[in-house]
Amino acid sequence: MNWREAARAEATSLKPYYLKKYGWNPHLVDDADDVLDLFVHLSGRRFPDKSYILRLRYQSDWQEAGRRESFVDPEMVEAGPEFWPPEGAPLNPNYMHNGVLTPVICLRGIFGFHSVLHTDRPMEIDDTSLLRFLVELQKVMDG
Amino acid sequence: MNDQGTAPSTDRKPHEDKDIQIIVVTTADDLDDSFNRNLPMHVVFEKALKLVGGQGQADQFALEYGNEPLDIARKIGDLADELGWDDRVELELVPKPVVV
Repeated sequence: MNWREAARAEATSLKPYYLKKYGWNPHLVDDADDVLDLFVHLSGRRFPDKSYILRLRYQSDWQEAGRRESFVDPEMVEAGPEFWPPEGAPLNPNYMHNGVLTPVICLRGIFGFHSVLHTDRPMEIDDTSLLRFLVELQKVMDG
Repeated sequence: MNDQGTAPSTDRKPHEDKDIQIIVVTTADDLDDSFNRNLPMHVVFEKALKLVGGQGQADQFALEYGNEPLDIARKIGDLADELGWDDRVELELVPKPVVV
């Protein structure tokens, strides 16, 4: 299975139990040669009356480097720290990496964790499933 | 029978001797099995942990009912009585965010 097939497989097999419980409403955009984007709607008790859209970008190295994280505008076009939930572990919208603003989430399975913050901790695909990451992030959103 | 013609009273609760069907939703396969009410809940927890490959990572997971963590040292039957479970209940094995 190549990187795109693996990405598509995990993005389209999220359990209905969690989709219903958390209202993630995932949306997959698979129309570019070099990336595949999964958009997930997130809300939670930690941020009442607010909702956010997480974009996980899969590239050819995602199984080693992690899924690249961003939060995006409601039209799912523009990414930027202004679309992130307020800062607080493990959400770091204002993180500076080598002098460059690099918003990151410090959770396993994500580019920010394995390729920015903890480069000594390689991604292990069995321990960092998409669903496990999303449930962990949902727990963060629920405070 | 006693002298009133009724069965002798016991303190047993209606479901005390019956197993309980426990479903545990996990981020991998789900657990669906029956358990004796006298067993501690950690038996269920450990069985669910195996499904997510979480043996040895017990501190990274919680077993929840209604979004509240369960005390897995307690007996299944005691939790069932306290929380009003009938013969079947659905729990969730929840990974805890590991923030380094």
